[in-house]
Amino acid sequence: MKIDSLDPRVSRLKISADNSDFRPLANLDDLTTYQVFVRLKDKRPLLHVGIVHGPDLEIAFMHAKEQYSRRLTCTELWVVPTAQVICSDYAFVGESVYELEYSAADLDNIELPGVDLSNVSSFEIFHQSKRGVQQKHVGSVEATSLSGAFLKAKEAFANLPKAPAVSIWLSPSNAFRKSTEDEKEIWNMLDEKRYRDAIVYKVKHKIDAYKEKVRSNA
Amino acid sequence: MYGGGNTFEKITATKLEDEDPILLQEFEEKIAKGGKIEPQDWMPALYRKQLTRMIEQHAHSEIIGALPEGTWITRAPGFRRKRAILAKVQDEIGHAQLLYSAAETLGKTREAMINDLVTGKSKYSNIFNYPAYTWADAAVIAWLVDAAAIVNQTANAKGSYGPYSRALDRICIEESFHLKYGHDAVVYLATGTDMQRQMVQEALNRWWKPLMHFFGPPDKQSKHTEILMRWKVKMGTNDEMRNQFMDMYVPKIWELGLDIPDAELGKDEETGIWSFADPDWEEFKRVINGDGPLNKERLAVRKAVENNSEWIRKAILSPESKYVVPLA
Amino acid sequence: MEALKELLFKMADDSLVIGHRMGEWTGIAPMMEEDLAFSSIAQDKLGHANTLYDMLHELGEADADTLGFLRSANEFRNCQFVELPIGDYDFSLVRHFLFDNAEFIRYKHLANSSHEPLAKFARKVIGEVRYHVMHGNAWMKKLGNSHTAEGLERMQQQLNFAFPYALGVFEHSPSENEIKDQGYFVGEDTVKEEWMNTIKSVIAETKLTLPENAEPVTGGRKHEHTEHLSTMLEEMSVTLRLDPSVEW
Repeated sequence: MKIDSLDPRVSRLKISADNSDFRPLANLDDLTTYQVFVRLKDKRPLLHVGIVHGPDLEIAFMHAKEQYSRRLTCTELWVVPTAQVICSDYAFVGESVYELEYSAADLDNIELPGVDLSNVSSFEIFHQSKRGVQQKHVGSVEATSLSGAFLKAKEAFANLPKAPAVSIWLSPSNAFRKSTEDEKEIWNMLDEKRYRDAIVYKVKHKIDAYKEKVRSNA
Repeated sequence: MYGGGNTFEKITATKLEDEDPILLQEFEEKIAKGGKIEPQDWMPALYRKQLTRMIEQHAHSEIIGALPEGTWITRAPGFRRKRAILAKVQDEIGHAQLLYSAAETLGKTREAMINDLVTGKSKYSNIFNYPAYTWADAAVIAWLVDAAAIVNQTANAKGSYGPYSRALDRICIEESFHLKYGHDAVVYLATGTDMQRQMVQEALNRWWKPLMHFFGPPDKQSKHTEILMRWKVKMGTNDEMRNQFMDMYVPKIWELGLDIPDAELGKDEETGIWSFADPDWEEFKRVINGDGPLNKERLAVRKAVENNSEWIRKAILSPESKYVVPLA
Repeated sequence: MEALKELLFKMADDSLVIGHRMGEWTGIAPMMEEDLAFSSIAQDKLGHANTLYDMLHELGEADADTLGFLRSANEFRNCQFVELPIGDYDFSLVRHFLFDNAEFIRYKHLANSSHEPLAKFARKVIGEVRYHVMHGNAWMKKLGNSHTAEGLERMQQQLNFAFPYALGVFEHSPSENEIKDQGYFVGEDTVKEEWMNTIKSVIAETKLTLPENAEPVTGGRKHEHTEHLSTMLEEMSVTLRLDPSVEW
């Protein structure tokens, strides 16, 4: 017995109605995860928007583009393997994350799977200004180790008036798939996709006309 | 500090009274002050368990929720509707993706969640087990089912868990498109020809009862509910949510001259409370337990999708891949 | 003018039919992330079709909904490639890869069309189509280097099946010469040559091989179609046909 659905697409799938042949997903069937950052407009910071699952950085980038920039505006997209992002602890209440005391040895012992540090010359730094909000990109620092990156970040960003940090993320700059200047054109048509926005659906005139018709018939 | 490879401790059924009292107090104070809990923070096992269950069910409802409207994807009338219904159903999948991601930060993998969905271990919203017979059903779903969902989601966005709140903020913006698009599609039918009006009235008749079921049966006050509300996991009672929905949408349905199939429907202007006929809570229970019109088909479709893509997953999985819990 | 309309019709029909086919995957495609991406591409294609039909409307033809939804199959000028059913995801991906690389090249040339509305549209839309190609190429390279024998076999089989149909994309229109002479479009032969180079270079990065001596499957540009097109159009227009005279 095949399912005969109201949805012609489902009927074409030729699914057996009992479907006893489901093979449960195994670990990693949904592949691994990547962190995604979007810049909505030039001169605004990159913001963390979420994750995608994917088989590699390039396809993760293709997926991130439609999951996180199919509406509004976008001028830049960054994607990085989650495993290559280092995440700090939370600062104590009222303090900055940079006041946490990490020893250089502890930091440099942290594993960064898939990263060859001898090829790393800089790190990207992200701040979370308080619990609940998105991580925001504050800049990059030149460093060849995690401890070096943390120190440099402290020098450069610990006193940013507009971007205090209760937690930070650090990740080697070359671990990212970043959209290029030239690739910006992939978002050229966003303003033509207003059918995805609430604002274009306007029916007040139809409702008013209907009410008027009912009134005049009464 | 730690790398993204960090994994959470297994969920153990720690009873609330066995939790570390100092950590518990700090946790509760943080929430009472309006602060958010993040994945790296300490949290009681009960909080983790309830949130995982709630976010996961929400995600399942999105991925299965793509199917009733999907019924009309290939038959939408004209370009304007054709693109919009695709975008609308696409958003449901997008929301599922965002919500599964939020649930993953609590330590459960997406594979485990999908397995629990298709084997019936984990639930999704009952309403998606009902059939969409005509284009008008798709319109009514887009308007009213999404309206009901927004009432829930707007409340839950103010909850205490950071990743869930952030996902919901994003989702609510997209839902406002669903609501307007759905309203637009219903208004065109309701203000159109007799045939169109009849289509939409019949669809409304079919969906009203499941809509009343949507928010769940009247709440029994329990100690458990009280804790979840204090922890800002549950943000309102079922009855409050349902009443809010009726308050906002019953007048909008009436202004289109459509009948709501409930003779007892009415609002007490003094209390602001809507009364309504018993929507058959026995049916609600039957459907939850698998005996709705389309429960079997909905799950069979999801199983088929996973089975049919197995070869792709195996083909692209690189041997050195390692699962990493998302950070936020 | 008839030559220009012929060009616009074949492009619009291609876009509508492929857009409809790709859209069939929405909600039931492999992997949630891929479901989203493929749906966006489908929506983009439907947008292209709508814009191109609008251009025809400006030239005195009926409105977009009438052109797209209410003509019969033997009035369509799309290539047969796009009307084939979606099959398994392997076929849909291979078709997307082969077809969209041709679209990208087509729009690059159309940026210089003598019909200014078309040129303007092409210049704007090129970035969007570029993404379609990036997506198609990334998947082709990924599955063309599958870690499993099944993956490689499936992709090779679908490539063998799809390639002759893909060659049919470049079938000349009856007014091919006039389309070129009027400067509307550089012509199918040029697109085909550039397309072959691109396809070869992507396939060279995989473990797949292009079939040799493939004979193009043609007819679409002369209104000859498989039975799949009429079945598809019937399904697509069933709601609108309940009453095509009113707004939905």
